[in-house]
Amino acid sequence: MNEARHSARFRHIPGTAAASPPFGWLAASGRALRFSALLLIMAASPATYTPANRRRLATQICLTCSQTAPAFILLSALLSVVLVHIVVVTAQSYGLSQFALGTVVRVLVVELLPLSAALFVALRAGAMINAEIGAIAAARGTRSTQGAPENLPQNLADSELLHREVLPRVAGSGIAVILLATVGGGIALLLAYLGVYGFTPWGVASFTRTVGQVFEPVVLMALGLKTLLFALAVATIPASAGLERPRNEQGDSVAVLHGTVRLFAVLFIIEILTLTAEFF
Amino acid sequence: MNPPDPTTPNTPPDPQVPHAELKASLLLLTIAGLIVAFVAYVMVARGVFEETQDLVLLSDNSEGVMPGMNLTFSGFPIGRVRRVELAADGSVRILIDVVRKDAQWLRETSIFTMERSLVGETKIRAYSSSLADPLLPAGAERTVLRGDAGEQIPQVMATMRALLENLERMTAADSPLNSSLGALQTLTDKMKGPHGALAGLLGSEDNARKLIATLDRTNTLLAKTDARVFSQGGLMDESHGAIKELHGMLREARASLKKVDGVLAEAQVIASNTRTATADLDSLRSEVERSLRKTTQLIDEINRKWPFARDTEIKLP
Repeated sequence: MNEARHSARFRHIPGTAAASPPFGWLAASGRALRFSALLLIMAASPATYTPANRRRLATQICLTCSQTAPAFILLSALLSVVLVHIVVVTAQSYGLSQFALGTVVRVLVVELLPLSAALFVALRAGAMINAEIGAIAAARGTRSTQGAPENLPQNLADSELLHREVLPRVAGSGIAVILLATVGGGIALLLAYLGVYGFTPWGVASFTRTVGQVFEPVVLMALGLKTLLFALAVATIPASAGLERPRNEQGDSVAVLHGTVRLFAVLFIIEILTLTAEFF
Repeated sequence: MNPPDPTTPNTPPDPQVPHAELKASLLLLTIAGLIVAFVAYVMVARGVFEETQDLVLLSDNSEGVMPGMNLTFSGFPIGRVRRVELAADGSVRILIDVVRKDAQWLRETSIFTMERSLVGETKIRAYSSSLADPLLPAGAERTVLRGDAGEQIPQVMATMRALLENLERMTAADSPLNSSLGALQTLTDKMKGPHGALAGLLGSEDNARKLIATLDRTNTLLAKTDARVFSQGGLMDESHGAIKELHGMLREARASLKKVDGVLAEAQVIASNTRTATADLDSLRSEVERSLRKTTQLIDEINRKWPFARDTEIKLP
């Protein structure tokens, strides 16, 4: 019954005709938003978690995280070391070393690393998800129009596609973004401490106090909300773009490019909105 | 109700990961643990679990003061600003949470300052001159002393301007300083003359010459005085003899005074004898008075008896 309800919603997601160019982007954004809402509802539904779906979900989470985490952790650690060194040395040269730690924590942990994690997952896994889902949807569309039994409705097939193929990949991407942002932030904090105080335990109290000053309640909430929105955008926008492709009859590369451009635009809008909320 | 399996040969096969569910669960638990640990760390860092006491600092300006700022003592943060509010009288109330274990550094006599530098944030500092004073009670209100480098710039500029104007007036061609320097040059020119600095000080060579002549005459006078006073048989010798005579006279006066002392001692003895005799006279007088009273009583008795008795009865007409 739940699948039937999901199917009824999903039936309205992809447009049957391409929108006119001025409103194409808006229409696609609206479809992506509704698609995200549908996926969230499916994720919250217990009927989704059948043993087979659970296994696929776990597999996709493990695959996406294992594909992205090692490289990102290495790169983020490298970026953190370089940035911490630059900020600390520059601050010392101007006699402002007391502000170095706060600046590093704010710039790295709050601003750069969540965005970097989202971009990394989007480039590493998002494009792949876009292509995979597009291919699967195209194959199913071919099957449903050529060889599907008449008594199997199209929306039921779409629901199965969402449960089997789309939702695990979307969940894997979203969780990967959260994982990378969390681990990258932790490593950045550790490297910032080592960069400012060195290998001594006597700076912990001062470091803790500085972290407390940087992470005001508003900043903490903005960081959490931003990471969640990044995860949602990175997970759903490529999948939405992949599902649109068979109907728009676009090529693989064009669909992936459209999805990536739309995703980057949404990521920067989220970043700008959170910056506005934090500083204004 | 599960639909029939719609998988087809066109769908790629599912990738296989051994123990995928266990690994995914561990991953999710790790993420949740990291997030909870980070939030707890931030809460600890913001002092959510610390026991604090209130301190209210009063100021006339809250520029640069923000919630979360540190209150430092000897460079160590001991509290943080919780709220900044405007009081009913227009003053600023800065509410500070002081960590209870660090409140020992704040005393009744502690002074609080708020310094605002040109670069960097405003700093609130506490100074305790004597740690033997009583502890600052919770909720105490103190006025904070403000020092603002930026505020003093206009004053410094105004002072600098006045200073430069003064300097300009001093260095002008007709300035008093220039006149003084000219007079000094004249003086030094005069000091180069035959009478040196004297001519400059006294105004002319004639005056200097007169002064030197006066000094010569004074020297001559001193030589004559020396001959009259300190020579053999001079004024000093005569004074010496007079002093010797005076010593003899004083010795004689001392002997006379000793004799007067003896006379006075004898007079004292006579006076004591007279005091004793006066005491004997008192007893004699009391005996005479007693005899007289007895005699008076005897005469009265005789008068009451016959033939000397008088009729004392009063007869009414």
